[in-house]
Amino acid sequence: MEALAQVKIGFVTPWYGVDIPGGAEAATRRTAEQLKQAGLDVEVLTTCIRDFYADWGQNHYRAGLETINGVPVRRFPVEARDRQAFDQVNWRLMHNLSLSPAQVQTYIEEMIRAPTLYDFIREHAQEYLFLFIPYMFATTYYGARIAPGRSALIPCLHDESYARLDLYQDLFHQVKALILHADAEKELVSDLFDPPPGQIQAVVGAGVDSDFHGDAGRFRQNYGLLDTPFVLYAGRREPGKNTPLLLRYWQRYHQESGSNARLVLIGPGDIDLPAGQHGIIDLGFVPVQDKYDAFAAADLFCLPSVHESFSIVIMESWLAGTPVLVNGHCAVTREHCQKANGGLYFTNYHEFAATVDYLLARPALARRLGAQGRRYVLDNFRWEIIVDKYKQVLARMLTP
Amino acid sequence: MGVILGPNRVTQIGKEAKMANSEQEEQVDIEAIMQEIREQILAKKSALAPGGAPALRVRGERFPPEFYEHLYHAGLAYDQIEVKQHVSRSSVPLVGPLLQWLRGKLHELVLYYVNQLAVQQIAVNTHLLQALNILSEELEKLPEVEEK
Repeated sequence: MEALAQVKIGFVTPWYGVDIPGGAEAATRRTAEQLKQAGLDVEVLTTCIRDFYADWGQNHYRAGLETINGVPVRRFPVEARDRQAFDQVNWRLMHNLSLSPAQVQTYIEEMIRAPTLYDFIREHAQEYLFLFIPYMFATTYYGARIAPGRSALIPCLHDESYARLDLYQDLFHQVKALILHADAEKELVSDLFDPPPGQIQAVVGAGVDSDFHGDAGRFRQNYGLLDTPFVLYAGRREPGKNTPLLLRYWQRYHQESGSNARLVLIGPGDIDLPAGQHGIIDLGFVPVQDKYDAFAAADLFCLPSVHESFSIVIMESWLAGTPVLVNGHCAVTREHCQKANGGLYFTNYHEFAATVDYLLARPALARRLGAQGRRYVLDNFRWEIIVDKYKQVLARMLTP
Repeated sequence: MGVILGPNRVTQIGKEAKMANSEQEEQVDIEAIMQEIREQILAKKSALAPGGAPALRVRGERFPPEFYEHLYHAGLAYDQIEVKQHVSRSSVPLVGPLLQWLRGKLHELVLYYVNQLAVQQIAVNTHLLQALNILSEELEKLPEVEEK
């Protein structure tokens, strides 16, 4: 561990900031901050792009060094790119269509152009251990190839069309270490990339802030849900998170069951609510304390997404003592549920309706599942545990 | 409703241990709940199916959990093979409606025979599932074979 004090730890990520959206983005920032507080010489190497939703050819932030929550952040400018060409190829990937070799080149070359970031990595490679997050962006693809022996990849891998591009085979093979969020993610890495023996592969998980308090009574009072049972969804509302499926299932459940339960939605993103509402309450974007209050007040938290590499929201739900209902086709969230015994899962409408009924009819049992989930989070994902695991991986990276 | 305690339950050694591990001792096993729910779903499906549906065992000790999960999904899907008509709209000017009508009639004819096959396939699926279920129940009764 002493050798770690002699080296800088550089998180390399396409965008970075306090209020930028995205679970992986927030997890990156909190991990960098926690490792810095633990005494490591942590820096963030990123671009001047605002966030995922901005134009990746636009410099929103000023290039140079700044400090965010105690962590030095080096920003490098991006160059103009052919956004239209990238969008055309990306559209094909989003619709699971195959790409020609030329289209693959367009995809990676016209994504993010940050040559000065790569120059910096090249010039200072021996001073740093680099942590690239996540796998799919050009900052990772080009950056990790410069000094693979001093690079770890935190892939945040999902089973998706991007992951099946041959482009990423070398990346996963060359880096010194893979830092993974769940056993299911490790299995997916093995299936898709067959990493070489000797590569460090550590299932670390992600740290979760556990010091929040939610007031269930306040939420029910403020939002007029005093005696009404409700299922909560919190997060971006978009097809990628499978919220249309949740709305469809809830609409049918509400019609067929005659239940007085409500589905409460929290978070950004436009959604097409079914006509007549069907027991759906859309609160949109709410203050963060209201979100914690909602977790505490909910009878059940539902995450229909199949593309998760960790999922902070189910951890937050468990910390509030609320059981979860996840999509059984998502190996990661299902794994969390099974390990924690903290909730149920569904793979079709019949299971969705039956599991909702089962838990709403048994509030004491539901609370026990929530308590088991809380214990799982505290036993595995408190910051001191995660920081210790990161230190171990980084120390192993320094051994020849 | 009794609480379902599963394999994660901690053996009670003594009062002190019980106090110290009270949370773990009362560990609720979600897989046991899922199996109970899945049995209810299949029973409901069986009650609604004309002529009934194969009674399937979706929990047991003999096989890995994946076996019972596959059996459950087969129980849900064994009769979901009827084909519905799907005729795309014709954009040909003037004769478009006529073309669409002809396509519809052609599809109806194909579906008439395909769905007859589907009925036969459902009968085969039912027998296969029943046979698989009997086999798994019989194996469940046998003692574990000791390793030589």
